[in-house]
Amino acid sequence: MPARLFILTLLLSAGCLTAYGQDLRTGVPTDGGGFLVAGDYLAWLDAEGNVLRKRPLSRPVTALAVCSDRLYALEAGGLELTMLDADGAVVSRDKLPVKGRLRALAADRNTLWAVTDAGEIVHRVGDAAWNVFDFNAQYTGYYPSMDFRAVAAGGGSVMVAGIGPDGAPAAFTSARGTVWSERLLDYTEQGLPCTFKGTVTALSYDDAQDRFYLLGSGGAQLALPGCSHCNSLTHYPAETLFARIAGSTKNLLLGSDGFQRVEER
Amino acid sequence: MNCIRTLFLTGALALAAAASALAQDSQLPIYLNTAYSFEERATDLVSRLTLEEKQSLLGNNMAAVPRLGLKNYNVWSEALHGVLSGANPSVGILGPSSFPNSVAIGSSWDPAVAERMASAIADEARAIYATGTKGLTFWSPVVEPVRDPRWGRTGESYGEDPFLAAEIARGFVRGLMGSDPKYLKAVPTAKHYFANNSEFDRHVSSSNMDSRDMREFYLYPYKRLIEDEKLPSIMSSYNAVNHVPTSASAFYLDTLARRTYGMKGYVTGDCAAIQDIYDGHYYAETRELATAYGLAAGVDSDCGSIYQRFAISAYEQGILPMALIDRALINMFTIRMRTGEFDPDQMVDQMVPYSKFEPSRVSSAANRALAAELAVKTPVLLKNEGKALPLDPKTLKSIALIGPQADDVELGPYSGRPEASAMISPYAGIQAWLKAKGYDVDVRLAVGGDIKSKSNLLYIAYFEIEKTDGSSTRYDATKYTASADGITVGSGMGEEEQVRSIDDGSWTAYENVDITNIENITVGLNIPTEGGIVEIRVGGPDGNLIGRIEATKASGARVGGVYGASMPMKTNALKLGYNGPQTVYLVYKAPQDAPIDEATLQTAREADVAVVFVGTDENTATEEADRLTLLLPGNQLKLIQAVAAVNPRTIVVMQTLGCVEVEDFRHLPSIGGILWTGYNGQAQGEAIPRLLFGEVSPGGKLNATWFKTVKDLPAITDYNLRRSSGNQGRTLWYFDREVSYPFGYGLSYTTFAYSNFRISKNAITPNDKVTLSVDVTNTGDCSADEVVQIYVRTPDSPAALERPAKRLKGFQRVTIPRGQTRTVRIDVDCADLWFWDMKADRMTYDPGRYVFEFGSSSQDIRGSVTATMSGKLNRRLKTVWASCDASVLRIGDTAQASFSACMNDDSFYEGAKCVWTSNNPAVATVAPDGTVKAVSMGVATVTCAVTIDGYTKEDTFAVKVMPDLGLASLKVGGKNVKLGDAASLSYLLKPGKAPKVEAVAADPAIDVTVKQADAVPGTAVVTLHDGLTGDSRLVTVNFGAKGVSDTFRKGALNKAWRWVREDPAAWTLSTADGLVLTAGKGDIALGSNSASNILLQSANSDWTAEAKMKGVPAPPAQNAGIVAYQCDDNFVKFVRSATFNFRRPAEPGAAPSPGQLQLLVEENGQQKSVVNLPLDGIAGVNDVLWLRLDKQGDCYTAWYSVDGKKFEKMGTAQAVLKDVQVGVIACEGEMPMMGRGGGGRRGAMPMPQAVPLQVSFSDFKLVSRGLK
Repeated sequence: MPARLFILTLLLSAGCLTAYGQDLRTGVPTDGGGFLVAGDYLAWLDAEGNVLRKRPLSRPVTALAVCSDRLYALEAGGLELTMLDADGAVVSRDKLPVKGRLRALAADRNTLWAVTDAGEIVHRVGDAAWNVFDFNAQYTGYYPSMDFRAVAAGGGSVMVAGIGPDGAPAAFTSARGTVWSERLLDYTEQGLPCTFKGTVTALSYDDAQDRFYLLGSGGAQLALPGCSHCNSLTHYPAETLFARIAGSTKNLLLGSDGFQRVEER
Repeated sequence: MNCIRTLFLTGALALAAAASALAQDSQLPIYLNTAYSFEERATDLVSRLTLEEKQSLLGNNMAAVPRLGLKNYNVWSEALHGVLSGANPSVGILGPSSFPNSVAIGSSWDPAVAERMASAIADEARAIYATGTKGLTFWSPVVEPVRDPRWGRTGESYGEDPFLAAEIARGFVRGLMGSDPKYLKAVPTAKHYFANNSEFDRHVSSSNMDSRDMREFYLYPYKRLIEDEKLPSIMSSYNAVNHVPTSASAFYLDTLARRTYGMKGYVTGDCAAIQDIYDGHYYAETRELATAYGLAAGVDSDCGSIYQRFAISAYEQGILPMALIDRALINMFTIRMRTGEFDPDQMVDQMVPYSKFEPSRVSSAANRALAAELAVKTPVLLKNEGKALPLDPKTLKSIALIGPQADDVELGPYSGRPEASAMISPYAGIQAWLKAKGYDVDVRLAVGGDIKSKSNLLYIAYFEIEKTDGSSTRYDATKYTASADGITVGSGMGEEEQVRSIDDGSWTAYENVDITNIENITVGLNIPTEGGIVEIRVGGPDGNLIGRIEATKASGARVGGVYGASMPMKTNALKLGYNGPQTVYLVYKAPQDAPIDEATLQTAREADVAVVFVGTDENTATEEADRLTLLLPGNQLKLIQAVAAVNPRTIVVMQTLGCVEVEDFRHLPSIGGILWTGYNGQAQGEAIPRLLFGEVSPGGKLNATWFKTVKDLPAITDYNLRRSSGNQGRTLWYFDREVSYPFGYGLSYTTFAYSNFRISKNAITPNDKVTLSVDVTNTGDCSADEVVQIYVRTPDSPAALERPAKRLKGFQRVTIPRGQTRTVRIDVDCADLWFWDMKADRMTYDPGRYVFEFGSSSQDIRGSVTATMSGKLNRRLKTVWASCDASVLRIGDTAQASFSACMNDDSFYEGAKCVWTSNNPAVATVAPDGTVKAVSMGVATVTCAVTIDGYTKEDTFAVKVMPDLGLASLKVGGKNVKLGDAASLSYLLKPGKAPKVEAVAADPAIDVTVKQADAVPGTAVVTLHDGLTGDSRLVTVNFGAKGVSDTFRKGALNKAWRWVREDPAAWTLSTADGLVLTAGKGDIALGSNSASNILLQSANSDWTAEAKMKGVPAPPAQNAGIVAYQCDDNFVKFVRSATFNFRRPAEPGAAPSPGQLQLLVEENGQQKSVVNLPLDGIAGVNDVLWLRLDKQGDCYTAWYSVDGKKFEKMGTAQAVLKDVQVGVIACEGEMPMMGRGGGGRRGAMPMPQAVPLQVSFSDFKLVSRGLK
């Protein structure tokens, strides 16, 4: 079961969020609190949202994931996967057996997922070896060749998203990572059919709602529920949304230029 | 490697292309070979899929499988009145045409209109399909009759009467399917099967009815379409019927739709309908069970994501047979194949008549013209006092077009997005028509009103009281202690429960809300359409106001739509000095209507004639949102009245989703004419001038009753049709109060005289067909259409039977030139005059008089003829349904076929005999008792022929025979041994070197590998692998040594034991109790794999283990008992465990439960099968139990005893384990994942905390045995 971000309520009510500065980039909940990337720092939070400690990051981090009680970070550049210890010290930097640059991380229970800009989807269960699925090679002629930008996992499935050769966004889902179905990004607005056209920046799985969210340019958040044609689009006043962290009662949205929003469920 | 495999590996599509026109080429994979039937090809295709591929194909986003040349395919498309799509310039596709929607098409009373429209839609669909951007399966039409006009999807239905709905749908289905006997032009899906006739509660509610209403009304259109038109698909609905979700009901889907009506095709669940089985209806405890229920019921595709996430785990849990997965996929692929999708490219053009549709078909000139033509056929003239209509343009100097729809094009739901140039508003249409005709009329436009919805103002989830000290308390808004009538609670497609059905003036009350030192009030709400005002009051709905929130679209608040979740809106509280708990009221108000502006009235006043265009839109009512009122939304009623007050020549043109209340304006003398239409498509504005100026006379008729007031209707949740307390009856069948306009009503610019009423015979039986004839003369001034309607009454039926006042049983729309007479002949099949006999469970016919009324409406009856019914229906065979418990077999396998025989009175024939035959006995034979035996690789079609009273009907199914995964020989230590059907052999040997195992596969195409045992004890593993399908079979040969028994009372453990994850502090030995274990956290089930103190010894032979156990596991998941263990992911566990119903936890203070016995198997980390035996009535809470587990090969049998002497068999399970150990386990257990995250639409339950489990084991006995 994905951990909960218990911190959000207090963060907002106490005005703590702004204390982290205007550069909240991403975060990940844990059972006992969570982690946030705030500017050049990695912050440890307790269950009530208090900063237990923070530590400067040696390199900018674009994504975090907690898997099998370990904290993984994806540093800018996407060449290596970094594992951090309880103090935030780098335990290891692993170069994954991929051709492309790592673009996103996600975890579901004991499975860690990552995607690359070369269309690779990699995962491993526990400490087992990495399994690399070359999406573009496997699906040549069937799906567009993808530059993956986002991954999220939960509820018995994993979703990846990115852009195709023509720049059009696309998303795919799988139960176990070897067979992928396209998830259309269509939605209805004012009764008329529309298709999401923006750039994909992130995916998020919301356990409580059992649905994925795709974030993108133009402040777009596309909800992707179980009902496969019930997608709905919301726009937020941010140029780009780059993280949606689902909490137990609230959700935290992070975007460019310091955009932060906590939303009630 | 055989021929087919070689082809397979080189790529199926490439091979298909190379094969070109060689359809008969035996080298082609069967699924690409057009020499085979579609079902055989589909079965072959499914047989080649891996389990994960199968799962990925069980939803509407069907995955691509490149190795089979299988393209990704989205089953979901909509085409209710045009392909739901937009323009796609990159492939040369314009915006698809949007034709009149269903309520309008239904009002045409002309199936040919529906057929022509659907044929044009299919043309466009084929053209779009050819670009590779969309499929050919469409979730249209809606055939549910309109039981209640408040239903949010009234506009999507063809009408109130099931006969009308069926006839119009027949036209649509024919048009979409095309007329080719083999290939489908496009695939219609009739929905929503069935009784999804209210929106607000459809995910959680039950539509309750008796079998008569069910058969005569709700199912009638489906029956007609399936039986008469071979409808290839239906959609199962969200709702339950009589408390069983339709999507989980084998009776509704398999017994009725398939075995009774004979539907050959696929069933798709409505989107998230399978999920609703689990978290809407709480009908299934897990998503895996919901998957199993859905597939077992016959839902082949899940337009959600449950099947595609949980089918594998359901299969691995042993609750979902592979045969059901295969059956679902075969049903789906058979229909996909009928579109020609899998025919080799080079053959498609020759064989599929619809394969050459160019992009230019979309929004073609022909289709634009058709849209314009059809838009003229649907409008209904409701009033024409003093021949107010048609208007004479020669006498008009000016015309005022007033109202929010005067210059708008409302297409209605599930419409395509046409080109802007194709969408003509009334204002544009009237201007263009006048100009084209050369009339100089000043056309003035004034909107002057709005269509703001007053139904479903808000959805309220919570409110929060914040005090001056900064503390706050949140209250669940759905937990109100009192409310106004009509308030409901629901979550729709979302997870959040909300107060819904909020109307103007509605309120909800909450007792004991502490508002001492109140500072702010926050309300969590969603605005579905226009929004409303929330007043927070104290003491009563009219009590003191302490807060007010304007949650309206007009004020800039965020509109979440009908699928939206709540957002907080905050207001400062008015501090009135209240202290302590109070009863707080949330009072909901609609925004005030905007006043009618003087400029609009001036425009109306100054014109020669004022035409007011009013109506509804998708905010008025839609999917997920019913209407709460039948009033015209916004200020439109006031607008009509205001205009009528200033212009004595006022015409009202309404375009709505159905009935609206008209009593407040229809009698106004200034309003001479009222014209109504459903959403009339892209060309609605072109039709208006042709009708208003008399180029064409309106010829449509109302497709539903127009009630005077919503107050005449029973609760929308009441699905009974016949009159009862609080229900004055529904539809023209039973409603007997005065109405505004009756069903079938519609005027014309001319008049028609009916004469010479005839019937072809006056003595009828259910086996007859009669022709009703009437001469209709156009006695007016212009050519026009008339719809002659035939209503049937049965005046001799006993009153107690409560037969309908009348039923529509025929109609015909005819065009009659001025002054001419047409003889209209309408055939009625007397077999269709049935009622449902609820006791006999079959159709029945009342004897006596049948009065056939000829009407211009259901109440304007011009004449009648009578026939007397006698005799009975000649009962004959109608539907044979054959099925098999497996579609994919391996050589040597057998499967059991079965069949049912349904008669033409919709009852089943008991004792029918079937003659079974196989079209390919070399592949599969079938015995007279239906036993199918797989003989060799290939496909075969098995036919069941049933003959009853000289009538023979057949049905078929296909089977695919795969290579044999059996062993030709197995040698152990050089000696041949017989394995039979077992998957495991056990030897009892002395420790030392293990014998060598040698194996040969029965089929040379199967790969065999043997991993030898290192020693005794140890296990040799034989793996048989089919590279074609990826299927594998394991055979284990276990070599074990003799095990030891241990009383656990000797102060030390026998040295044969070893611990897994020993926690020394959590176990002790005592002479009194034996081994005492204090359970630690976790389990070895469900992936937790963390249980400590598992005590084991090697037991790699066959054996019987027994132990005395004392201890009471507590909820939620504590368990303890005997385990046969290979590793944490492969074991058989026989335990006493707690019972805990996650969804319905025990009431506080309830007596403790003795728990249950559980036999659980886990293989490769997947829970495979579970046998549960509740101990209630078997053992007391504190009773000692003796558990015994017996291993014989791969078969584990569990026994229990309450006295240690008499053992009862509890159950058996199969598991192929290697390096087996046996021992005891006690652990806190792990709760299944179901519902933990949110827990569905009604929220998660908190997990109870149990005291640590302490359990003692003693007198452990182990008797080993095995081959020598």
